Amino acid sequence: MIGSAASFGFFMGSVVRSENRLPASNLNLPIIINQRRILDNKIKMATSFKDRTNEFHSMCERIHTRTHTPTSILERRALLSPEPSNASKAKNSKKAPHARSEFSVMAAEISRQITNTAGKLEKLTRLAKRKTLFDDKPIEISELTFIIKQDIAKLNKQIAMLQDYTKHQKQVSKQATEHTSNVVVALQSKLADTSMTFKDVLEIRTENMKMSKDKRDQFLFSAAEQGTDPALGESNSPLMKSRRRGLETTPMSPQSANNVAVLEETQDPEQESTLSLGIPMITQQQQQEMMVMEQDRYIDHRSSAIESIESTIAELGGIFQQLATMVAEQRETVQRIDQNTNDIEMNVMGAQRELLKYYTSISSNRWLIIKIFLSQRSPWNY
Amino acid sequence: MDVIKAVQHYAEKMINDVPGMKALLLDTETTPIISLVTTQSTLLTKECYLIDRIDNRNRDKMKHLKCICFLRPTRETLQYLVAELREPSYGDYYLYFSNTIRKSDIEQLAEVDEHEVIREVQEYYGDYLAINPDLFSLGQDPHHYFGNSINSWEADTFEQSVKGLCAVLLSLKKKPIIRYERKSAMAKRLATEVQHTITSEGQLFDFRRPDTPPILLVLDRRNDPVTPLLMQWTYQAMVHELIGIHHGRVDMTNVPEVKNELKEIVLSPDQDPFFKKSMYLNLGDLGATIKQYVDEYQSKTKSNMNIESIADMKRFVEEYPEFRKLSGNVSKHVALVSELSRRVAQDHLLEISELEQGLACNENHSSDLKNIQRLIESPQIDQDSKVRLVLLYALRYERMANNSVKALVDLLDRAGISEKKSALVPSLLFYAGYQQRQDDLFSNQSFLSRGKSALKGLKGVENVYTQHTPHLSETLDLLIKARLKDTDYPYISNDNSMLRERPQDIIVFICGGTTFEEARYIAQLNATTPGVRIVLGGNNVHNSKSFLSQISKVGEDYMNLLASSSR
Repeated sequence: MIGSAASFGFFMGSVVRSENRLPASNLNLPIIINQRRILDNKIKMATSFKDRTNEFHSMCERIHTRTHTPTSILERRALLSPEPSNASKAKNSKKAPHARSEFSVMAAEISRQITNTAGKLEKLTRLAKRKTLFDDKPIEISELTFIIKQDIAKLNKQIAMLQDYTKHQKQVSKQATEHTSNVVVALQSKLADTSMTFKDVLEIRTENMKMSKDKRDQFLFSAAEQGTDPALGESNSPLMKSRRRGLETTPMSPQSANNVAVLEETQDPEQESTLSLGIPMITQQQQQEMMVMEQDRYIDHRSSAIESIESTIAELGGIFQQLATMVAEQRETVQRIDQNTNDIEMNVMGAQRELLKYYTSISSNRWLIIKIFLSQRSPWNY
Repeated sequence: MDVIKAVQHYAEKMINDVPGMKALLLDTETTPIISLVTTQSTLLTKECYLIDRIDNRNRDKMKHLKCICFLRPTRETLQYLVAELREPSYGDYYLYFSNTIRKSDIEQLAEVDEHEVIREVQEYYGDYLAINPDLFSLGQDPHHYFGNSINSWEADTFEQSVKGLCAVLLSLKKKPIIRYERKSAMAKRLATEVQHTITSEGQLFDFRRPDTPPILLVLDRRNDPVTPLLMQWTYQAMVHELIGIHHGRVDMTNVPEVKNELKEIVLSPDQDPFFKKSMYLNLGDLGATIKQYVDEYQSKTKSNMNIESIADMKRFVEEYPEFRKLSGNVSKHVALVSELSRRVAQDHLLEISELEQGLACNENHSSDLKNIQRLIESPQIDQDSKVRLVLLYALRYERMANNSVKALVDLLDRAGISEKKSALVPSLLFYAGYQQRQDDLFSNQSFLSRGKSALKGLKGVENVYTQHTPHLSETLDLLIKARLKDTDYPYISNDNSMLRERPQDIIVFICGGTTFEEARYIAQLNATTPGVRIVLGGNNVHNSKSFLSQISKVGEDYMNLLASSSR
């Protein structure tokens, strides 16, 4: 493990070094990959045993899914149509303490799915946090984002269904209803957490993309500078610097993906103009053009990725709103509790007052008793 | 190329990978494997507090322990494992299999794991008994080698041999070129099957290629039936011959006047530095070494005796455990060696051995015959020794026209030796007679080899009791010089492009068991030849007793068959 970590560090180092001289970096890439393969082989060689745990786990999962698919179909049916038989079944299950009620089975299913989604999210986080310039996997990331998005939406729907289901079903006791609603709320908060982290990850991703874009822009300019004559370069430099400064100061929000593309486009003619200022080397110009084309392709890719992220965030916003309404519903009940406690306080106060009144009346009556006593005694005296 | 280290590495990795308090579950096969390479105290220091067998069903439930299972994936063991996993006694299970496990078995385990206790499933290829650094054995029963005929394997033994041999290759990280003995059908079958396994398990055998490929040489015991018949004089071999070493332990219960704690002793070159130093010494040199050892012990005792100051006391307390260990070791070896010398004197082993060696090395028919007759008639000599002498005689003079094997067998009968034992003579000739052997074992078949042996005889011998060198030595000499004939020891694969080089790493496997004499020879060869590393292995490690019982089994099972089919 330590070895692999070290080798990874080594890769990072080599990548950083190759960044300094971009034109050659594309050539370096396959070499780096080769090195990694060799190192992987070496790691394999150090141990002569076979780890079949993963195989075992996959086997476990397969068996698990094989045995659990029929039940999930049942659940779905239960979700869709709350038949009267279900209620009786629930009663039956109440009688048998070990049989889990349908509701709990469904809730468990949902929570398991949430966990699965969290796992996927973790994977996405790992991908998103990578800061390599070349080897980030936009396709994988976008796919994962899409899957997670769908998962969250689906889960949201399922929770809503579950809520409906509990409302439709007549519960025997008050405690049971409370329990079910608690479970639903817990699931909702769990989902909210998950989607929150999802949002965070997406933000990290956009941040990373912005950073790499900045880096890329730097290289573009430095390459252009290197290409020009030193004298000409000097005369150009103030212009370039101002441009660069302008670029750096431009705020890059995730929504401004189109903005970025526009920036890139504006930058291209600029570059051509600097080149056309009088560079005699045509070959270099061609090289530059090729590079620029490649850059364009990459940038297109990136902009599409950013767009997808943006749309995802928008959808997430929708989900959040939904969640917010749910929370608002919850607030009503909470408020009611508050009111109730106020009522209780008032009642208690009233009771105390009454008690006091009674006490004073009693204490006044005491004297009456004594008086009666006295008045009764007096006839004997006389 | 150190099999003990290889298995030890596996054991340590297993124990170290699992943190916290743990139990070790073994099966009947893996118990000796583990016990040969590690000790209970080592395991205890690694927080492994419980060691038990998986077939022991009444174990206490201890959910706080993690369980390491090191098992050979046989059907029986897997059944026990399944039963165990149905009602797990421990918290977590880390499964380590000593060999490749089938996919269906993993599936079965996954199905059974309802309590979700399995944490890891690994294959650690330690599926053999590592006896010496350069000797391994598969620990199989010599009664179950042969299947339908004397030239075929019994199915189970064969399967286990292939697996064991592959485990050796995997643990040593070798992907060898395989050569086998041409005349032996068993060696060929084994070699082919191992090659098949290597090709089918391609990515397992994907090791870094060395400059010269290692060689796996598969030999057959029947090419050299003489070595297991001889009396041995080096320490390890002698103990095995006279008392018997089983899984690194020596059972001394039958030895007279032995202390209770020495009833069963451990002889392991890995844990006992004195034994490591002296295991290849012959009895005479061993006496001198043990004298030295005792002297060392005495001086230690004396230094422990005079405690005059606080510093002395401190030193004494610090050294005392070490001293106890030394004293235990000294008494162990002294007891063992005294027993060996007692047996030598009692059974007239020197006299017998001289004749045995003469029979094995030199051709001198008339005097050999005379000596054998004399010894058979002598009442002091053990029956088995007499039979062995006749067997050696029969092997050497089998092709001589006027040999007197029949007369000697008659003589055995007259000396009161049971028919069962004298029937060993035809059985041995049937199993490993001239017809069955490939090489010129006694160097008496061609003029050139006769001349060579005569020359050897002229040179004289250092020690008359250890003049025999196993036949393996000639084969290996040729192999190391890259002069071993392809026709006699063919390759299993067809591409012979890079085979003309001198091999560096050699793994020798002898179908039908190896011997400690050969192991000693290999150890010497390893020490004296730089750049060559050899590991020897066999289905088991024979002494003369086990070899003879195997032969008698052969006689019972196959001689009758032959007789009935010829009728």
